[in-house]
Amino acid sequence: MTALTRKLLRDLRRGPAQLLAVVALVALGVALYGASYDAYRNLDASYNAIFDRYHFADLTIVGGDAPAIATEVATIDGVATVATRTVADTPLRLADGKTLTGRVIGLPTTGQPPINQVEVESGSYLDPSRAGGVLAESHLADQADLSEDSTVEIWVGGTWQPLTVLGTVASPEYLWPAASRQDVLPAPGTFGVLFVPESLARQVLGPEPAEATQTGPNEVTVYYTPAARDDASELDARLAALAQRHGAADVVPRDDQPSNATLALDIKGFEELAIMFPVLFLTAAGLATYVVLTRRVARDRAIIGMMRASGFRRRTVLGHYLTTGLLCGLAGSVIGVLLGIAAAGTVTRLYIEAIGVPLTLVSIRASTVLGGLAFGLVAGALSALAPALAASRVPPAEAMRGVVPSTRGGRGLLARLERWIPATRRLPAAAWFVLRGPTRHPRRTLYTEIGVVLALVLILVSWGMLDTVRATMARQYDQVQRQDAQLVLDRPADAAILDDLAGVPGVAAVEPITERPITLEAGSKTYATALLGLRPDTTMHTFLDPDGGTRPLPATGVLLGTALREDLGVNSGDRVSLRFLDGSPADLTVAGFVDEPLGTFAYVSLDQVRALDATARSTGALVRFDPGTDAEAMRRALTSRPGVVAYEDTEALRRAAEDFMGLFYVFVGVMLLFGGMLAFTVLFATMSVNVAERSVEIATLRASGVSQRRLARLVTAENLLLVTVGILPGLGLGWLATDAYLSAFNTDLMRFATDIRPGTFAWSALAVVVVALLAQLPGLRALGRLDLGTVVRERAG
Amino acid sequence: MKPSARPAQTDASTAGDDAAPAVELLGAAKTYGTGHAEVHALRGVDLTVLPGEMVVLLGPSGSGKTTLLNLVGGIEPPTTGRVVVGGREITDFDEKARTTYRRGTVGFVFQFFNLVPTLTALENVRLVAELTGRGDRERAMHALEDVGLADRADHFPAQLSGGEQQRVAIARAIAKDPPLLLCDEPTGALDLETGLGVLRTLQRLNRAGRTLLVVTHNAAIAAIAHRVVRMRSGEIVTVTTTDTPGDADEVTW
Repeated sequence: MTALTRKLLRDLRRGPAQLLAVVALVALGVALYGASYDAYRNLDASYNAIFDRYHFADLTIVGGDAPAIATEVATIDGVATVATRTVADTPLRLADGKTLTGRVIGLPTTGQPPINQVEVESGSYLDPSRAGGVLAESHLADQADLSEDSTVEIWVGGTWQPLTVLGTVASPEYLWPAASRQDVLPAPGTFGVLFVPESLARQVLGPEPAEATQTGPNEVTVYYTPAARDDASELDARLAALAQRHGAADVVPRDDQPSNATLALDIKGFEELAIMFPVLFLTAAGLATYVVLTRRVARDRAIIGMMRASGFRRRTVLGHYLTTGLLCGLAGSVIGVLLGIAAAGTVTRLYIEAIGVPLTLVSIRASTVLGGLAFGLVAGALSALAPALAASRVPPAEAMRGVVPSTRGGRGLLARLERWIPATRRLPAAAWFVLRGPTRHPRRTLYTEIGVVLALVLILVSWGMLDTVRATMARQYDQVQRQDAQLVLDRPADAAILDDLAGVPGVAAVEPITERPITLEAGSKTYATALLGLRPDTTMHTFLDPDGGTRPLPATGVLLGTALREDLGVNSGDRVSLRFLDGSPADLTVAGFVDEPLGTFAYVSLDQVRALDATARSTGALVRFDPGTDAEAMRRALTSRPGVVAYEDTEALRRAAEDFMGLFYVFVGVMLLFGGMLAFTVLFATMSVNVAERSVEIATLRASGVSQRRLARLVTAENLLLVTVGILPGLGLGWLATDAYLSAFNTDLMRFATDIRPGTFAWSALAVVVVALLAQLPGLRALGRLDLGTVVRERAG
Repeated sequence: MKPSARPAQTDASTAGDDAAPAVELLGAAKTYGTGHAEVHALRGVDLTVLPGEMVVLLGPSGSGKTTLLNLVGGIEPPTTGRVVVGGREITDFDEKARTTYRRGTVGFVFQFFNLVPTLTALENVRLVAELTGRGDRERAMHALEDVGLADRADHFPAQLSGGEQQRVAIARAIAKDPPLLLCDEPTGALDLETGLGVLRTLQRLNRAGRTLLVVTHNAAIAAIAHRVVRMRSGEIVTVTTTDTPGDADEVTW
């Protein structure tokens, strides 16, 4: 090993805490990249493996002449398999009497269907000899504690029919148990899926007066060849056109399938993080590396001068200091890659366990490992480049000089301020010590500020997301949805039943609601949603205008979720077509748009629903309770009334939404922790460098009788000045970053309007100040350990 | 000792008039800055140093002695004039050529030693010697023996006295066996005793045949030189020569 290499290695051990801070930042950045990106890819791979194994449909066609559609679709190139089935929603009652919205899906009793197969997790598959035997989807089974031989009832033909659970199953269609794309946050106990013999599903479906002709299967599922799947959109469009010719109401590609769309949206968060986190941390690491190495080069100027005077080439010196950055980057990235691999596996398993996915694929990907290493090395090299170049440009004559303090006296803002406002000259010297400190190395000061800003961005993004999600929930459940419960009735919601429900003690108000699945069409664009019919003077729903105000439900025309303005390309006053599930069409005028956090619906008055479909009737009721009533008692009282077959508790929905955010809160906590660590390490690096660089003057002041406590106060004041200057831009950028990050999650299903409480800004700023005070402690302790004689003699020459 | 003073314009030496010069400065001038900020650090200096000679450059701060040393050491080029070392003109060397020149031809001893604090005495010596392929342990130890520090080879700079540190710096300079040793205030940061030790070492190296150019403002050191060049305001004022330089042991200040 050459003496130069030995110097390099031993130099790394000089002031190791600063370099360790850099290594920690790189490691965190790379680990978060690895963890989030591999978690995303693990989950994606797991889902895809499940889709392959269980032949998850590439396209689902709802309504229309299913047998005819299936026959024609089977002849199209790229279609591997086609199947038909019957799917129907009906109230479901559990053994304890609780009711929920049930969905029955027909399966062949003789064996698995060719498409959308199920994984039998306990018990056995359907048996032709057991007509009343059904399979419970795993989420329902978990929530209702169903197992083999449990009993459930479904509402068929006006009565409750008991069924026996033969087994519990997982389905690729219900990895996330979303009832529809508009209902992606189902509350436990409000929705459940049963896989039943096809004949039973058809019995549940009809015939009903409104759909008297429909007694056969009502869905076609299509599975593509692998080659066709690679370019699915073209085939999707072709099959959609074909299906619509046969009266299909809705065509759902795999990407839009409710469970898949929800999970894709969720894991998209990991993908976003895989970019955002590393960018923040590696930028911070870069700043810290720059600051630490610049200080080292300044400290080593005389030695670098000696080396150059002795014949070392510029590139040797350049390489010497560049290697320091590279080694920090390498050490950080190796640690980060290892941490990332461990974290990715853990995150994937936790996530999959929380969701209840039957298959987990966790693998170590060479591309992620190499990417992580490359990120760390590039961050180290790039940030070391400027100091290393500066080192290589140190003239050999530096070896002849003692330490010359850098001076920028007479220039800059402060100097001008002093000239313009003579009174400032009366400020005590201590004030100038504090004010001038940051102007000595403007670039380093700038980087310290960037460190403060980055830390605030990370903290505020985490905290701001929390605030925004809470505000979004409050907006949805306190402002938009005003009912405490929604009831499903087995009869039209006429005056008699509404009066009866209104008479239940604790009920403040009752209103009818009609809910019909529809597909909206405008030109070639379509959108599947629900048409909700309410009284024009409804008190159960507030229609929030996109401009921030509220508006009433119009007597004529439809209010559309604001996402449809873009998705369908329509504006107020335009005509929009809609198609009911049975294929019957209608036209409406767009009366305006509503801005709602969850879902994108179409709202019309009840009279309009009846005008569109004479046979339509309200079979739902919205109920608001008197303040302070016991929700559980109300559930018992209302579900015992005649005609009430299912009950959905708004508070339960809200709790479900908050539970859904449980993982998110953990994630926010981790982000806050990382934000604090980032702030600490960046500020530690810069502040300890500031103190180290000024050891001579500080020692001189101490030698002159200035107390250590007073010096510590001056240094603290200077550091606080630096942090304070960074706070305002940090808070502003933090808000923008939160907005940008959340907007990545905005879809037609969920919209977040960035809403950060003023207190959050204050607490975030305070958190950074506290972290800064902690970060300067090692530097202040070093002040106390200064050997005055040695410092003054050796450094000043 | 028989000193004699003569004007700086004549530059013969008593150390051997018939030998080829080790160093020649011909009208060498150095100007820093431009316009109002122009500083004439060296104003057209002529100086010849013969092989084996020990020349001491004396003068107050700002007299140009360190600038002269920098020109000879190839640290910076003259603004005008010529610099010839060992028969090679280095005046117009570019940065790369000057680096190669410094590597092979000169050894530097600095006022503040400039030892690498994270390397032992031996490693400090090897650091520079490795540049010329003379960085093996034996040679480096030999250099340390030359300065009387073989027993301190494994000590770090912080474990050495100031005099010892300067002697390590001298060992570092001579380990690559340069024909010319340039010393910038070698005793400037040392007390009397340790300073004398360093002078003894330098004299011994000179007596072994090495050419030395020593910058100092300590007039006492002039006693051990073959020639003493006094400078002021960038010019050579006088050159004093002696046939028999004094012994370092007899120097005091």
